Amino acid sequence: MARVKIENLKKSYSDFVALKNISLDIASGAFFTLLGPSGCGKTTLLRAIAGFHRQDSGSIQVDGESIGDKPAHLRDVGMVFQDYAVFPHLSVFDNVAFGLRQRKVSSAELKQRVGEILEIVQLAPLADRMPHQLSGGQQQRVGLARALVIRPKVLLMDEPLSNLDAKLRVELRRDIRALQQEFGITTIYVTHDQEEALAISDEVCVMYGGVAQQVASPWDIYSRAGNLFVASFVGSNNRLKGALANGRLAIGEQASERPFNLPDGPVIATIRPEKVRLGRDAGEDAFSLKGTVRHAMFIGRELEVSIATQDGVVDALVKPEARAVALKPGDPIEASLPVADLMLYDDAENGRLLA
Amino acid sequence: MSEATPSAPLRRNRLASLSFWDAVFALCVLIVCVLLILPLTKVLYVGFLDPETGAFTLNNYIEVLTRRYYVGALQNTLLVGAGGMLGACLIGVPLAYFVARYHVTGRNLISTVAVLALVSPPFIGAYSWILLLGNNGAITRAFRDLGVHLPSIYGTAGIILVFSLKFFPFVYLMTEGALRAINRSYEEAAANLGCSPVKSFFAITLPLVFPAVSSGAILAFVLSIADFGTPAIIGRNFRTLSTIAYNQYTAEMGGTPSTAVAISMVMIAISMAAVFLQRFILAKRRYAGSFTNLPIKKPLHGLFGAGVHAFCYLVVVLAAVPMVVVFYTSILATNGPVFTGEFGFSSYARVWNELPNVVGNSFLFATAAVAMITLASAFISYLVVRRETLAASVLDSVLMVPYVVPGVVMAIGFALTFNRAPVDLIGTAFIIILIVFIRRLPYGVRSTSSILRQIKPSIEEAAVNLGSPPAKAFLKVTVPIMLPGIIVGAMMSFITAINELSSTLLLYTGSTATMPIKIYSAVLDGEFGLAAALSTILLVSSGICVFIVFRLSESREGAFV
Repeated sequence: MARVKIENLKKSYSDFVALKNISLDIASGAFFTLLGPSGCGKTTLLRAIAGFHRQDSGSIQVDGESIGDKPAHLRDVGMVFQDYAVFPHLSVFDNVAFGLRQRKVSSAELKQRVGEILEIVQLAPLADRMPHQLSGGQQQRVGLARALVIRPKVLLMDEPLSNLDAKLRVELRRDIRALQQEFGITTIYVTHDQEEALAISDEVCVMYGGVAQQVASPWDIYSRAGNLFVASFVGSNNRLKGALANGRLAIGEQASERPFNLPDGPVIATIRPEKVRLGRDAGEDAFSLKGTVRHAMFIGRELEVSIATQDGVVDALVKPEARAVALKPGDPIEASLPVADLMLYDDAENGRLLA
Repeated sequence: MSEATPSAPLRRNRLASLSFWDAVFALCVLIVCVLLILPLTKVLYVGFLDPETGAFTLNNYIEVLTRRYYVGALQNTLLVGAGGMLGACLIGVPLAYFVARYHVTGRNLISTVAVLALVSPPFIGAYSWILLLGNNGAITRAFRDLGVHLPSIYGTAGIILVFSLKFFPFVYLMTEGALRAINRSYEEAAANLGCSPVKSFFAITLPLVFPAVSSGAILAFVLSIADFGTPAIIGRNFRTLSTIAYNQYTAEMGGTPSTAVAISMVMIAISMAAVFLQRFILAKRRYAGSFTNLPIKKPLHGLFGAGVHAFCYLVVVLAAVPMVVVFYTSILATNGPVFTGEFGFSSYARVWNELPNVVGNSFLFATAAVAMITLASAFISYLVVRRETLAASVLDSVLMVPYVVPGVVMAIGFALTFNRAPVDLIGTAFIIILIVFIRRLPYGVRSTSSILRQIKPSIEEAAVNLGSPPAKAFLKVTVPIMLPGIIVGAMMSFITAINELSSTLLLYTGSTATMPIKIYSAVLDGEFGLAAALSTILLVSSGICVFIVFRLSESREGAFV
């Protein structure tokens, strides 16, 4: 158990700034996820914590101890790699035992600890196998066992599931979460998969352009995205141009009934597709946009309807009822946007959340 | 439409493809049988004949394996083989690691010198080091003037030195390639688990590149034990199997060369044992190289950086010594065999006046052999790569044989096989061309196959699908794509062909002498100037080929291993 504190971390490669002043405070025992598109700096940050490259400035503390200047092999932070990095010339047992051998653990204890962890990750029967005889999922379990067996203060995971197929990914991420809870180990997890991040984490840090955009619980990230980048990167979102005038929100010709305690001016309004309704609900404070169906796609649990309106394209995710499924491109339709479900942002490149 | 109608032209196509490639296959098998299997069977057979009576006997082998003279040579061979291999590894592995993992200034110079050392004539190392460190060598004299007596270069130490410096490029080039292809995550994982960088080199990195290191090492070993020129020149009374096989053969000339053949078989056995050992080792460890997440080179600083550079440059200097000495010696003026102490081109003048036919022979034979190798390689690699039949893979395996058969042995086989009508080739240029052809064919096939493997079969299938007959599809579509690779292969064959000594030395007559042969006899006669001028010509020819390969090949020095 260890609290991880990162202060003013900076890192640049010649003319590319990978990390701009990152500060994070990760609670002991938390499952903390760095989420962002490729090139956002999430892996750079993780590798700086592991000690694979030096930060330009800033500090990294684990349990109050500064580790930013230690060589990688003395940091005591376990890491699980994206490409497994299971040593191909060593058996499963020897892979898992590798870190313990570096720590000169007695052979009796080594056997016991390796045996235990292999039991936990369900690889005990495969202890003598060589890595090439294992599937991808099994190899990643070896990687996980190898990192956990040394009982590190912090566990780092660099997109550990991205090379696995979809079904296995879901299965293994459940196992990872369960193991993390069981060991109570502070875990920093890197992924570009938002669903994975939301499903697995206590806290998510959305990164973009070397900057931590928002640090919050998965629910808050999704329902109260801190800025327009987070709003569009996590889950899908509709964006509409609007304006605040006399304390009311206006989109197109319509204005909200509900007042907003915000200064007048242009804003960006967003709404999740699952909040958009088809048709008009009388009496509700909602914007009603007339338009035509661009396409309607039945994707199993839901129906995806894309609507071209005067104020822009609005995507809706609705229950696949008979009437909705029958929609064809060109059909006239009305989209209803409840004001209570709209989020307002500054009308800027990456506008802040207003309300 | 009925089903039979559309399939008729298809079937005809398949029939045509069958007959064309089957004819090619039959021809390849014939070539391999006549030029490879027949001579080697002959060698094997003659080894069991009593030289006096011609009756079946095991005496030749018993004698070779028990008499001190032969056993001593066997021990010497294993000694210099192991020594050359070890030396090559001790130079090649650290050099590869430094160049692959650090920003070493002059990396291109290092690999260029390594490749030039690899393609330089086989024995110039031996006599260059004699010119420097021999009894009357430049360095020896300099130290003698200072009152220091250097240890003798002749014998074991000299041979191992020359072999190490000659064969380290194999280990270096193969290991460097492997080091660059290791997934970075392995070493990071080791560090993350608490392994220091030095420990991680021995626990992770070295085991992962071991297949490459061992391939280079085995090559160094096999070439060391087969080498004839080096022990003959620098060995003095140091006998190895290849020198005694040659001596025995020339002594038995006219009679049945039973003893020479028995020695030959022992050499083949050692080489094969080495190759099988390596295959056995490799069978258990095959690690796929990585194409992403490759290691990043680190900058060098301070004392460690200075040490790394010092090591790399020392290797470069030592490896370049023979080439520099040869060139320097070639532009010293001579009066007969005696150096006058001034610079001049008299050695080249002598080559021009006395030995124009030798130079001509070398280029003629090498060109002819290379033309044949290139043609045969294109067809054989097509058979091996594209028609993955059992017969084709057997052909591929059989073509491994020349790798392990020393040139002297191959030459004895040729002399035994093509010595009477209807195929009496003894003394002809044809036999020289043929032996170079069969000895170097596997290298050509290997380099062509590797290119062909990179070309998707679908390209050719598209041509066939559009109505081109298979043979034409191969020539019009596949061959042009392969062309750069074929030229690279041809250049490399040319280098080995023009430098060939160990097999041609047994088969040449006055009119078919080549440059390596003349260099060898010139060195033995003390005509160092003449030898140097000829060696420089060889070196420059090889250098030009290397330049062409560098220009055409994507992996540059990777093409040479």
